[in-house]
Amino acid sequence: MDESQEIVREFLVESYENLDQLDRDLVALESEPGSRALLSSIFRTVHTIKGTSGFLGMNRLERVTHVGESLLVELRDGHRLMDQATTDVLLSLTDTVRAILASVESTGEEGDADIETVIAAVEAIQAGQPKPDTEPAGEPEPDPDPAGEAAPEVGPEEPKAGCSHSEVVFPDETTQASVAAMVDVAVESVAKVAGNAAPRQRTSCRVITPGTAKVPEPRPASDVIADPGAPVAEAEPVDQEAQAEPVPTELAEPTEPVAEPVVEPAAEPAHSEPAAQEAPAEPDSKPVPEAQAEPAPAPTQQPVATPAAKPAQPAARPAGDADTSVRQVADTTIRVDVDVLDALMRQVGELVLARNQISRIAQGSAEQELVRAAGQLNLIAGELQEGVMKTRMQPIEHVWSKMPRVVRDLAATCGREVQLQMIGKDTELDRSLLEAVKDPLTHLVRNAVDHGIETPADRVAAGKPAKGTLTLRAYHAGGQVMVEVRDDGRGVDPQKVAESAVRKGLRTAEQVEASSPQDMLQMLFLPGFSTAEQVTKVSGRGVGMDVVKTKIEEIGGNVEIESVPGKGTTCRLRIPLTLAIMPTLTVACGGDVYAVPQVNLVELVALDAAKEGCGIEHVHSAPVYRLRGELLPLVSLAEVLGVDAQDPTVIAVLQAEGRRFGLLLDRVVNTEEIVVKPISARLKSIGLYAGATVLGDGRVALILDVQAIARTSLLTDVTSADDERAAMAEGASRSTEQVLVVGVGGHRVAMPLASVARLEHIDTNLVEAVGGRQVVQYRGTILPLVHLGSVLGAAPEPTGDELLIVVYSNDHRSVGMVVDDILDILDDDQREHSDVDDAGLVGSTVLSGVITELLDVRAAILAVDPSFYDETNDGDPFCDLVGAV
Amino acid sequence: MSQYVTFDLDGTLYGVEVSWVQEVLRPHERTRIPRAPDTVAGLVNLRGQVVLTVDLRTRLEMTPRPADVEPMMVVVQVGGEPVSLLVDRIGDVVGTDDDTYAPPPDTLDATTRSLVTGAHKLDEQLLLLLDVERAVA
Repeated sequence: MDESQEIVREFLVESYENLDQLDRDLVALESEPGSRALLSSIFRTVHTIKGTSGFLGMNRLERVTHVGESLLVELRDGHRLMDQATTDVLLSLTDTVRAILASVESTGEEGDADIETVIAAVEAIQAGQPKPDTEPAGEPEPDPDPAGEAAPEVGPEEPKAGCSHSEVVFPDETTQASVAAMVDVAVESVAKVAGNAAPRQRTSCRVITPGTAKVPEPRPASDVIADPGAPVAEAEPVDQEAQAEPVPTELAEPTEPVAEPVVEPAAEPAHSEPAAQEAPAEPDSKPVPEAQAEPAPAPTQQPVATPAAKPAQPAARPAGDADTSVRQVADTTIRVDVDVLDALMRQVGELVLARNQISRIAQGSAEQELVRAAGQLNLIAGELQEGVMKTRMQPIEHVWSKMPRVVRDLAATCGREVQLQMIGKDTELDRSLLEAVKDPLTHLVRNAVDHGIETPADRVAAGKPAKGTLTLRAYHAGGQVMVEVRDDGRGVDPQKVAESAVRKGLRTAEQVEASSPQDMLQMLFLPGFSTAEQVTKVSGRGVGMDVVKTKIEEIGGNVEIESVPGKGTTCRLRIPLTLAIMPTLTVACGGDVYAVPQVNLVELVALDAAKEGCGIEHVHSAPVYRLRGELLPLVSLAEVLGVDAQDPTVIAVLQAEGRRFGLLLDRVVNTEEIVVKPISARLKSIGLYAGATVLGDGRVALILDVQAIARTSLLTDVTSADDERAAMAEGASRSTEQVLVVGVGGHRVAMPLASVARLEHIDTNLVEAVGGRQVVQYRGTILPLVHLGSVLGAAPEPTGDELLIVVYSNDHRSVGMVVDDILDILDDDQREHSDVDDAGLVGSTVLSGVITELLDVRAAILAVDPSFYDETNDGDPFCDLVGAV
Repeated sequence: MSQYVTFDLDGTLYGVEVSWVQEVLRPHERTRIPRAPDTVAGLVNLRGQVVLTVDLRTRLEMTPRPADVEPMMVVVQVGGEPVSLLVDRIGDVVGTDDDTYAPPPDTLDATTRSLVTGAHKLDEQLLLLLDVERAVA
């Protein structure tokens, strides 16, 4: 009993894999309808399932696959061309097979999944479409063969199926369908009448090419379920029989590659298939005999048979070759239970920890032997860890392979045209992570097709190609795997998101008012949020973006969303390479060591103890730090943890929840690869810790949950630092720009920062004069100088040994503006501008509470380089100057 | 006939049925967990496994353990997870008969009562039976 369960389990595993492949192949086939390789692969898969299901006594499954197989036979032999309807039917067939397999898996029984619908649909397809080949109609009437299971189905099912597919069933075609059924029937009966197989085949087969291999004895009936049938129904001997065979070796053995003319044509079809089996096993065996076998109505079908045989011949070999490689792979790979790998991984984790401890002991030891042994252990453990991790790595393709099908089905449902691009299929990540990202990724893809990409009409109206592009991209970056789902659809309007969030009561109007566009986009991830204006079949399945986010965060990753309205949306998942081992930064706070996942770490900033308050400023009561002109909200780890700490010396700039913040730390200890140990739910619910780990010195350290800290600490921050954010958010949306504030002759003068290329100190002695203008040699060119003091009519300050110049650039032209001081970089809100101006100024404004003049940069530059702003760059702007050199 | 691992907490004898107990250890260095409930005395590294420690003194709302008493760790398996219990002193494994059993004395305070399933009247003193699952919850 156990053994048969084992067989069923193997069958399930294999079949699931095959079905995935089938989905891929079918979708690929649609765009490449003639591909024989794909068709053969599909046929093989279906046939394998059919064969095994028959062997295992799964009759319903056998019937479904059998019907599918017969349709595939026609496709493969070129009797029928692949089209949308056929693909649909075949895809629904795989779904049905999947459903039955799922039932087998859960209950051990085939269940009562509806197989009739799909069988009827397949038959309708077979019936409803004329075959491209002109086959003489009116062939033998449907044979009411009791042995044939398919035959009785045909009659009653047809009308229904015909209707559901809105295809008219013509009598003639019905006949053809019956013929197809007949073929199947013949197959079935042959299969059933194992002993009589030979006589039956004799009448029903027509051998085109004489075979070269020996004929095996007809096998007992029990074995011959799918097997002898196939060559009969099927002209071409197909190697997948080998896989379907319950007793392949038995078959292969009597077959010998020795060329030996076969006298008895009757045996041909039976033997041809073992020969095909043989071929992959022994690459140097002679070409497979090309047996073209025809069922009973052979004479009438002959015209078809001959052309079909021709393409079959070249196809047979590549198929055989491919199989060889498959076999070879199969020989060198084994299936391993994931639990075994998990256990192995855990143990290696422990080994790494033990190694860390030994290394630490060895470091402080004078014992040379120990040091050497520890070094050796270090090396081996490292390699072992890498090796074990590799066993668990799988290319992301495993998850992506389902996407073409998802996209295709969805695009059809939603009336979209979508082209799916997949870049970086080979990017590998840990198996368990792969499993975990599957659903979120599928959701994002669905979202992109359903909500992102517009209908072809809308796209054309917007001046975009009718076909939308959905790009999946995976790559390694900074020890993580990035997976992007990008569409070129309508994008997401942050304002709409915000409005919706308010309407649903997820955010207050005030909160929204204070949010930046980026923050607004993040609201998509709020639980209970869905922008779909109407619940479609696709959306509203209860898997919202919040679930995506939760799932990704569960595995230590995070999600970002970027969107340009009208241009498209990009969702980026950052996923750690592996769950078990996490690169972290270990930091000290209040005498304890904590681990910060490097996933969240952007940079470290050392606080300048010389500055007042170490450079930490306060907006209201919220501490902030000015980092390269941007205000970084700060969170004190000691306060978050409620422990006494020394003065912080370091800011760890972290990225979480779509925003950056600085975590104030006592000090940074090290970077360490840690093994994540789960902690009890009770500790997780504190909302600060993601787990724990054992450090190299054997101490336990807690892993900080950066996301949770950001959520709890920054939400209060959002309100307290509201004004600040509001100002910044407004800044982004309104017309502010950053300005460089310089001191010139005692004035504060502001100029737009955007075109400032560099700030330079230049030795006064280097200034040369060219035709009345001052220039310096600067980076290989001649840089004209303008003294802002004289432009603004201010008293020229006595200049020291060095000139401070602001280099302005436009394309390749540069102008240096001589100033006295660089004072600050500030945000300038143009609404505050006043018209109070003077020569060389465009106005004045109040920046940081001080009146600042706004430099008329254009005028100042034109004063020294009249052609600086010329669009056409024909003439060398410095030609006159160059001439002087 | 049940067997109990006994230990002392502020002069009172408590017992945990042996089937719960994984091992008894000398104290390990504990990592404190800021913001955790008071009863959680930190995490210890038990041969590479991170184990939560519950101080039974705090759990039973007793006076804090004097600094000169080095606590012992009784590691119990609850719900498949090891949890370490801090006790003052470890006692013997005691076998009891059903006829010495008594319901928890009424004199116990409410917290203790909720964590004690009963008592065994031993010859020299009373053995209070600890409800392990509740104690670590």
